[in-house]
Amino acid sequence: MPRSRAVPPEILRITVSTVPPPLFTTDFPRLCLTREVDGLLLVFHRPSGATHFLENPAPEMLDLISGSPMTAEDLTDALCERFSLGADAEARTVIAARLAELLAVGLVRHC
Amino acid sequence: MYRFDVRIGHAGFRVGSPWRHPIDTLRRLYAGYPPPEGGGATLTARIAPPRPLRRWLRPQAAIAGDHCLPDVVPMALRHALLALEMAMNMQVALGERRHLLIHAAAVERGGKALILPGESGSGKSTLAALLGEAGWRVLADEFVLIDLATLRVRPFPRPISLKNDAIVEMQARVADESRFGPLLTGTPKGALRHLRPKADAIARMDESAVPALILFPAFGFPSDSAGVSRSELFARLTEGSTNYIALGQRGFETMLRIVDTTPAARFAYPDSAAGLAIVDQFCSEIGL
Repeated sequence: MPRSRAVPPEILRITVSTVPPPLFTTDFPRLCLTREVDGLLLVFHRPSGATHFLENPAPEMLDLISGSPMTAEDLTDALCERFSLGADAEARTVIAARLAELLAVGLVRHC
Repeated sequence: MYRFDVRIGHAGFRVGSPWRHPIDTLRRLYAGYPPPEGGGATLTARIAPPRPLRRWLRPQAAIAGDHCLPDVVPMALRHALLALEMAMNMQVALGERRHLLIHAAAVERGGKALILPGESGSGKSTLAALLGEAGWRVLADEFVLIDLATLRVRPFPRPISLKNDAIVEMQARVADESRFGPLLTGTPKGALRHLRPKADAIARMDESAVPALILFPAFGFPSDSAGVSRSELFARLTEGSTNYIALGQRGFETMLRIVDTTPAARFAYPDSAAGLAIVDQFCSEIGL
């Protein structure tokens, strides 16, 4: 008689809840050259040799995680607090998208 | 292998070909240019048949040299001069590390340089050729070299590559037929003919100039002009530079200094007379 491989739902819930959310960190501004040009932040990232034009809220995001690594959730809370905004679902979606972009270009990394 | 050595600005080229006539043509086009300093060329550019039979049978010229991109399509031998010029361009585009390269033409007057960046077809070469016949000194066509230490424009006065209607226009203005290369038809950019800058531009190829104005031309539109923000200037100049990334931090710092110190604008023009008038207006506004 075949044995069932189904995982009981309560075990699955426990497993998922024990995976910690990723922490994000950055080389900014330690390994970067920066210059404000026309309200944009021009960043030369020394490790990659790449140049980036950043607009709000990317510089503020980098500034926040440069002090201590943060989860996307904590970063959203901190950023919304800085701008006196409510950390709602839309804010979390936007910050997650910006983080993914910064991760893709190498200005943010997991730690 | 036939060979021609020539110095253009800081670069000493050793140009080679297994066919004689492209080298003879090149030698005529570069009449008056000096040999490399100390007799030693530092850059090698050459053409060669892509396969042995292509030297004789429907002959083709493939581009080669110290620096080369893979999979560059060979050209028909009748366009061998263009292939040699492209081989020389490639050595500069891929190998230059002492200067920041800007994809532009440039002319000089009173020690100050007017830089004309732009895509192919924007009219930068034609304007440089026209200005070169109107009291300006041609500094460069295709590559403007910015010294990383001094920020000055180092002349690189190659023959100007004229295309299509610009050929007829410049033939009407330049009486000395010997300054023109052969007319090449059916190239990827249409008809093409090189124009050697005036003798003065070649004799003074070691006299650098201060970047004074950057103008982005756009040929074929009603006359118009507008300023270019520093962020746009930075983006457009880096986009057109073949060695900005390779230069790393020095490239970034040099580009920032150019953007900080050089005024820039864009303009559209329908014909040469209008283009020259707009350039003149811009230059008089900044005392150039």
